[in-house]
Amino acid sequence: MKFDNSTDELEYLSSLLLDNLATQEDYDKLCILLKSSPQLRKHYASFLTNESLLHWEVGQVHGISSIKPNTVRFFSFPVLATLAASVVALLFVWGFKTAPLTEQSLNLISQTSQSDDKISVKQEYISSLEPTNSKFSKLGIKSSISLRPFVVLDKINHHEARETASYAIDILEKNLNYDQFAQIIRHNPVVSWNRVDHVSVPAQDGILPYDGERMIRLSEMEVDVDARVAEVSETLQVLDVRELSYEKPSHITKLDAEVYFNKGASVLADSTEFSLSVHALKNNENLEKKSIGMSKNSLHVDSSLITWEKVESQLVIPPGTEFLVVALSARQEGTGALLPNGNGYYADHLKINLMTDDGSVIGPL
Amino acid sequence: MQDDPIPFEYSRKLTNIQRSLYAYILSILPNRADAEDILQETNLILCKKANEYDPEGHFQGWAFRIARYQVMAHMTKSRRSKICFSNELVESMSEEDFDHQNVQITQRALQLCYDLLPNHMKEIARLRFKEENNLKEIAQIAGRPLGSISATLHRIRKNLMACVQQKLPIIESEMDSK
Repeated sequence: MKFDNSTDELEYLSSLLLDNLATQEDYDKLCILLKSSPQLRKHYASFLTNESLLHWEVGQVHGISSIKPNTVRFFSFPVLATLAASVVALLFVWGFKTAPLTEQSLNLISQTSQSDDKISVKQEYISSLEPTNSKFSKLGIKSSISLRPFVVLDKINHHEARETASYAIDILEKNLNYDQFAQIIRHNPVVSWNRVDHVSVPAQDGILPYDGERMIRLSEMEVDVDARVAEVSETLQVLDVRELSYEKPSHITKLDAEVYFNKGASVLADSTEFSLSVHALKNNENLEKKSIGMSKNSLHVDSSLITWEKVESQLVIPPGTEFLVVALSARQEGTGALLPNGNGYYADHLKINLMTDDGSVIGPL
Repeated sequence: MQDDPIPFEYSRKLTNIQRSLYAYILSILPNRADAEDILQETNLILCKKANEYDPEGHFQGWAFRIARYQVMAHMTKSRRSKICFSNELVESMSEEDFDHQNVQITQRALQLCYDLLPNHMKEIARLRFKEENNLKEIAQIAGRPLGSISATLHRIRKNLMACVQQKLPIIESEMDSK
């Protein structure tokens, strides 16, 4: 075969080699080419990088939408390789049973290291859902306020999001002007408890903020090994709208929220579902906060580090609403859920406006 | 047996470099089955050596060095693979070409380029790279001669290579301008 240049020949020979069709003569020619020039070696490196990435990526490129969440290929090489690395790491941790791991994402590994069978792993995971294990408890918030029972915020799915919302409502009801975990901002007649700045980070994991210098990084996911589900949900903003409801009881008020999501590169061909949810809460006759309305919109985010995906949520605020809770969540299912925290889950440009039917707009909040 | 568990940061770094590590191993041992074995062995050694790693050192360089030793040991003891680069050639491969950042950008470019492939090429690529069929199996499935499948796969790789080279500067500048 004749070639226009040595690069073409290099690609042809590499292709034969990768398909196990190369003869000894082909192989010798390839070696001579590679030895002859650093440029050809560089080209060969790029060619082989593409080849290796094709093995990792093609399952993903062929469309997440065409693959049902429950039909993840468990025996493809990339998945196996990553799981093997994880299993090796787990086995080592199992063997040590000594120093507790402090990283939240390794909570489960830490818990499994204390147990000998699958059932106890499950029990440990369930117990990890108790409020005493939460990030806020670790930060000492629990000791400074009395938390309400979860049932009062029963429509908010995730325990940490519920706990954070409960904490924020307590702060707002006490009419405090300062909170170490969030900014309290007055947009008369609405008061906002906003922790966006407190969970924001500069560019990382190869991801640049959608807007400005910083972006929201969601906490690490909690893993349910048996269900192969990993999830995190964060309450980022709680709005005290009691005064608004009092001032304009007969007006219809609508909340418009939007946010952009992105995620760090993952070694698995996984798909992450991001959600933006808004809950409207009201005191019931027992002075417990009950969810009286909610809006939740979700989308699956691609694996590109460059593109940010927008999610919007609207909620016509039910009459009598006292607090609005805005939460972001990320969820993974399948094999990827077993090792979800290698890279981060990000959000940016969270924008919330309240609009009343008399044309007035409060916000962005 | 070691006394301490694997630090979280270490396992995170190890997870992050899996693509780069596999690409590097495949380049110096261009046989998929062998490269996969070496990747597993390298991961195992990296876990064993977790406590020997200096956190201020260059993790990827350290991991690649271990992978290279594994490949060389494999070449020495195994005659399964008829294709084995010389130690000299292996040493001359630049590890920088497989830098984590470069591989991430290439990954993005490859995704864009893959979408541009004609459907018949995508189907052959799926059979080869996702379903992991060998050429003989693909030829049977597609009802085409083996030589034709081999030529198609070569064209797929060549098209993707040209497209990726074209897209890389655009993606880099997009990332810079963000």
